[in-house]
Amino acid sequence: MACGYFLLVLHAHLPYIRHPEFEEFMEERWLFEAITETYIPLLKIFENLERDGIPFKVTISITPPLLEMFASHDLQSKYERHMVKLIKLADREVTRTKREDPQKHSLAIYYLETFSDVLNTYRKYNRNPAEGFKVFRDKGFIELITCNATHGFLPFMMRFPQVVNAQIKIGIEAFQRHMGYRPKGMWIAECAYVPPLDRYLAEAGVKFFFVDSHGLWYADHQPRYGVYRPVITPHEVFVFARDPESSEQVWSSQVGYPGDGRYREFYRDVGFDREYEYIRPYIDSCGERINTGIKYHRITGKDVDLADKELYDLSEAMHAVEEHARDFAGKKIRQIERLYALFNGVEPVIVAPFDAELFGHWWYEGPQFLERFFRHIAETEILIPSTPSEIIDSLEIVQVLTPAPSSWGANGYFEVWLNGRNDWIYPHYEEMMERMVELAQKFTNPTELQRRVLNQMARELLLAQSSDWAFIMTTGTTVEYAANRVKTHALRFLELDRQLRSGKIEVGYLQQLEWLDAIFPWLDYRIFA
Amino acid sequence: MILDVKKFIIRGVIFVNPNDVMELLDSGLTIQKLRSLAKKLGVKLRRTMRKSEIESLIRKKLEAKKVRINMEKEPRRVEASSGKIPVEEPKPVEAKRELPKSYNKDKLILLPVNPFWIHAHWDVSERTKKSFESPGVVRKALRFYDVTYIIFDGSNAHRTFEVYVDLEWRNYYFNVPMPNADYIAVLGYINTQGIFVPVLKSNVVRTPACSPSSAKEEVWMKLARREREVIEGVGMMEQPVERPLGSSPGFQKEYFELGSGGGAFIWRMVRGVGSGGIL
Repeated sequence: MACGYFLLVLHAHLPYIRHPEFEEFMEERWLFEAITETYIPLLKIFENLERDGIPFKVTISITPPLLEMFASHDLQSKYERHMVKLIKLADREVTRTKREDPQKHSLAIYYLETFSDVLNTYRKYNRNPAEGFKVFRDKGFIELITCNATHGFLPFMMRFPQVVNAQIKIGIEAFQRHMGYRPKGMWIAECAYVPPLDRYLAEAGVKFFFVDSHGLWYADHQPRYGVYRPVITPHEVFVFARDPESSEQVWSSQVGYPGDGRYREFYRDVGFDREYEYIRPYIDSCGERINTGIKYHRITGKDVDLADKELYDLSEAMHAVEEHARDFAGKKIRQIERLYALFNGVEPVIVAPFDAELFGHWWYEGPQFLERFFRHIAETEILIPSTPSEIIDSLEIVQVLTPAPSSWGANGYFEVWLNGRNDWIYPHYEEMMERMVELAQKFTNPTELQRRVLNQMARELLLAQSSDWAFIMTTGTTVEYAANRVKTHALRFLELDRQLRSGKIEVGYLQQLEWLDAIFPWLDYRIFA
Repeated sequence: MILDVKKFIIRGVIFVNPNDVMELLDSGLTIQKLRSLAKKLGVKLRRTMRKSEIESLIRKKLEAKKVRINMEKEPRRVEASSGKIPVEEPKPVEAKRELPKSYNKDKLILLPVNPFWIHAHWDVSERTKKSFESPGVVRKALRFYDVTYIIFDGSNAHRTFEVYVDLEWRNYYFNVPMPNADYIAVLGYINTQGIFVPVLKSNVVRTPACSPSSAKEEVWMKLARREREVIEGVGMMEQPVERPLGSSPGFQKEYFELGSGGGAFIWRMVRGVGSGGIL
């Protein structure tokens, strides 16, 4: 008998990083590695589960920047080139490891096969992983949802309802254009919520969104079932909240799964281990060593030095996956039983959201873990995998409340995106938002050229607003790139604004920006009015 | 024939986007146009070559990416001033590389940070700056008012807080005592009579709540009829295990510790490694 539901939510997002002006660009590799290690492996496990008749359900938010990058012809060619090179490296590794170590050698062969398979799968889905996800959506296994336009941090835009509205509506339109239908739900970037965001979401036709646990705990009324039943806001948008137990069980450093010594070690990579002359063609073209994706070592132990890591054993790792998947399934079943009894027969809904890229990219065996997990829960009827839309359709009565301001970042509020390391960006955001709204209202009947300038200004604003830049500045990795992106988009915005006001529009400059910052080619600036 | 695609000059060399050229090829060109295109791209042809052969050579060339090799030594960073000049209208791009310090406007903006902190940033126009420089100004001050559930008239706040500021700071983090409360700020100065003179007023912000609501009722909605009903609340059936403020490194923190430290290259992996404090 079904006692409750489990919603696995994967948030797939990378900031819009596309540099057509460069033959290679280091940060474009984020996308490539996510495709190779996360998106394609997810599609592979979906294929396996479908083949074996396992009734899995997953919710995936694919953000508009990711959709735009997936569909970009130049990134597609670059990805294929990247993979061809990687396969060549794996091939060389096969030869080389032959005289090094049999275990390494069999791993090299595994990489060679896996990378070739990844490239084939990529091509099978028309060089666009989103098409792959859509296949499984059409078959009823997954629900796909969108995100606000460029993953902008909405609570800091609330002074400009037009900008919030644009972020939300562009997020829907981008999804619709790429996927061919209107999404029902939206992942609001960083789960960052403040009232009355629900009103804008309702106006845009969004049926549901997600908040962190304390978004419900500290809501204007106490949620009777805590985070274990969806609620509805006064503006009639459904809200699902994160289950703190699920993420803790998966990720905690004390008891979490990915730290197991049998799993693959992220930081030992041939990109750093091999001698320079040999590896030179496969690392960044400026000569900087980087991760290639070929890794021969396992975590071994928490306090083991990188140099002392032992060799990775695939079959041992798969044993760990099996153990952990069984453990997690058992924990979820017991949690459901406990809550079901506590709620007097009302079925709990457990929501477990994660960044998609953590499965596969960071936790290399993560996709296999998910596959094994779904196989285990297929054996029980107590817990049913489901999707938000299915849950909503089954509801007859729902509690009404307004969630509390919250995010899923450190400490649960907004300080990750606003602190001494990144606060310099906000006066510029403020200025751009103000000008964009003002111009959108003023130019109701633009010339063709003015229209193009205004559309490009909208693109520059949206690209600058990606929450990723503020986040990167806080974490301290690749800060220079993030700071440069904010500056560059703001400068381009201001220059276009100057040209528009002076009446001296430089077509060449505009054309160049349309090529460089080509997100949302269909964008109409009047959405900011 | 002039290539009917966008062109760019970088350091004196003309570049085109190979994908644009691919599209051009897909549209079907005459053999004359193909020959001319091949010449432009530096593809060597023999006179006896057939159309399909020429086309495949061009495609090969495009694959090889020779059409737009970038001459930059370090192809890594987007530079605001990258010196790339479109063919149509040669002019340096984005000569200015730094963002303006001030937009010469009068603004005082509040943003919520967490239940106990508010961030204020301001810009002061040249004109307004003069009023701050008049002889009657003793000190510049930033005031914060708790205006929860009231319409603020300048004198009816629940509580008023004041700090002395330098206009050049341009921003300030204010530690406030109340979560779930509305605050407004005013930037002004203290005059020789000891009176606070307001100059710039901010927007209102509400600090986030950090404890369960004390409201006693529950509202429920029957979805079929969209009827709402207010009933007596029972509270949360399971008491949540909350994390005290300042202790949560974000729920995905731990995987940062899982690895062997440092050098994470996709920043996603370090989500949650927050700054801890604010300032």
